[in-house]
Amino acid sequence: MALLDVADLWAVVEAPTGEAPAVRGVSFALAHGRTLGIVGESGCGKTLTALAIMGLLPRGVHGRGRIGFAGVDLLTQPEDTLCRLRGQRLAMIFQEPMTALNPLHPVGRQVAEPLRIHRGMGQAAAYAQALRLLTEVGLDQSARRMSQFPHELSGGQRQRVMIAMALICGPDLLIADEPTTALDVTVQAHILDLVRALVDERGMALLLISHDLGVVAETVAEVAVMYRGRIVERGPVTAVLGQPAHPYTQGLMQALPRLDARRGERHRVVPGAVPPLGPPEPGCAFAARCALAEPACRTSDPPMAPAGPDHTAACIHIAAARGAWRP
Amino acid sequence: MMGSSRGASTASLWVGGGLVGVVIAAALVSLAWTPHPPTAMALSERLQGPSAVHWLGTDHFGRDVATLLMAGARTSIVVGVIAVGLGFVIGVALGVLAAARRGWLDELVMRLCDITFALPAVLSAILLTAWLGPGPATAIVAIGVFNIPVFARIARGAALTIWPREFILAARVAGKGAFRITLEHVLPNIASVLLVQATIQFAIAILAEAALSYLGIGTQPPAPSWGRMLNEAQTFMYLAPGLAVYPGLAIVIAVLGLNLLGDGLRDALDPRLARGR
Ligand SMILES: Nc1ncnc2c1ncn2[C@@H]1O[C@H](COP(=O)(O)OP(=O)(O)OP(=O)(O)O)[C@@H](O)[C@H]1O
Ligand code: SF4
Ligand SMILES: [Mg+2]
Repeated sequence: MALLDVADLWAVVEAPTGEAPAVRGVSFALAHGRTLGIVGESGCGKTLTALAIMGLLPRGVHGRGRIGFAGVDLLTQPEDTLCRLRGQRLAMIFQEPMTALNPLHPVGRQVAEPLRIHRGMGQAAAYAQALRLLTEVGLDQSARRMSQFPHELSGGQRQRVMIAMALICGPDLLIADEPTTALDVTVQAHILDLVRALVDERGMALLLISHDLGVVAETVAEVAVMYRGRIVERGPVTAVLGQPAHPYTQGLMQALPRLDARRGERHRVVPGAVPPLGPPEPGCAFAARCALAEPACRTSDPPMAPAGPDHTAACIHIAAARGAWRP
Repeated sequence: MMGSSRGASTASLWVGGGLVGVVIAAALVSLAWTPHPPTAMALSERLQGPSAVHWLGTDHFGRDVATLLMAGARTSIVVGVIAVGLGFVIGVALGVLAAARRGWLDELVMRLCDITFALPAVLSAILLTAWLGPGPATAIVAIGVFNIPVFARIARGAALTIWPREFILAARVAGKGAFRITLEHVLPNIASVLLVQATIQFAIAILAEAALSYLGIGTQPPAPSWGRMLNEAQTFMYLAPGLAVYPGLAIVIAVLGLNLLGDGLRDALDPRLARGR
């Protein structure tokens, strides 16, 4: 049985004008030791999917569906159960480690804290373990840095601290939401290497969220492409990025950020912009921007159809071509 | 504060701190020593001007004015500290609870604050007097109750700016509950705002204590109080204007000092300035 089994997950934003689904029926499974990337443009629901798994959807956003984790449905668990799972079996790191660390606490204390909360460990033992892990994640002069504050560290060092804080209790699942987006390219590569190595070594499952196809290609084995709250294509990284089957993924591939692009710049990767959140409408969510759109695309939602071994995509053209592919 | 230079804010910190220090020192010294016993009356020496024996003269009972001022500082500080402390503890607890829980509880706390706030403080003090009788306890409760909504609102508002911060999300990701997050992450990050507000509320409390005592609701004779001194001085306004001027000055020094100190603290504790970037 998969460790994480997300089935028909919806995240619905309550607005004065009515309900707007930001995540619409996302399903995927992730076993121990497996790695999955989620890519998609800004606002397609990547972060909300991650927060739903953590049980931390913001106020005014409601999760529906099922998030199976080690046999229980996280969406129906009470807050104290979730508190026990978070930090212990479920871990998450964020894009901006400066804002994700408490500015008023020394980093050593922050890394040691989950041990003290979840394991009831004493201060000395927890600090010793925190120091070992900080050294393991490659924080230089880790002993001295234990007593430093987040603002005394560089972005890359802070991200290492965040990673140590996330991993200290040995979680089963690590969710990394744009873990390197705020970092320089060289630091980015180091952090990705580190995450990959730690995941391999510990046999964790990794859910890596990024809008950067390069980051995903380097780090995970499988990828899901999201568009407007749906997974539109999914499969092994080599297949999805090598022979993209969905017009949206093809557009993303053609618009890969060039090396000279400024960091942090939002690339408009596919012609047109993601339409704003609104009530659900029939048909393919990508139809408004798709060069291959036909009248049929606007009447019913194309289901996921096979596009290769373990490779599926939600586009009528794939469905039409299904006969051409033989396993 | 916007526009005020670093130097000006350091100056207000030091000047404010100095003035407040003088008042606190006077109160502390009065515990061990005063020029004359605070309640010693000498009718033969009433309404004297300043002299070597009575530095600031005597009042209509022949009591030493300098002594009364020192002992009055004690009353002001005790009433102020207890009243503001009461309002602080209850108000901050309600405010951070409302911010953490939101929903109906938040709504309830804020409406209660609105109601308490809408009652004029003096009116509620008079109502309280009808119930508790006049005395320092009445003044403390009246001023304390008036402080609860002030601190509840400011704590809630400040906490609401902390809750959406990413390090709170990170703390929740680490498995911390709302209570723990409030204690370890919200309160330390709003402490400076609360401290500055407490300083200013302390100034208001000293004014309020003086006002209530002046009205005869607060400190009762023979306990010394700046407000009572003002009240008693009005009868002798023309004979001995100093009797009104000195307690008035004492109140001004305390209130001005606390306000300057609050302003200075606000700038000194402002993280945007403190980071020194
Ligand atoms: N707290 C919230 N309240 C209301 N709407 C929200 C909230 N958080 C996100 N949304 C909306 O839900 C949609 C999906 O947001 P989400 O943060 O999951 O996108 P994302 O794929 O992570 O984008 P990015 O790459 O910019 O991080 C967006 O349209 C966003 O505006
Ligand atoms: S279903 Fe139609 S609109 Fe949607 S991606 Fe495929 S061709 Fe384009
Ligand atoms: Mg996001």
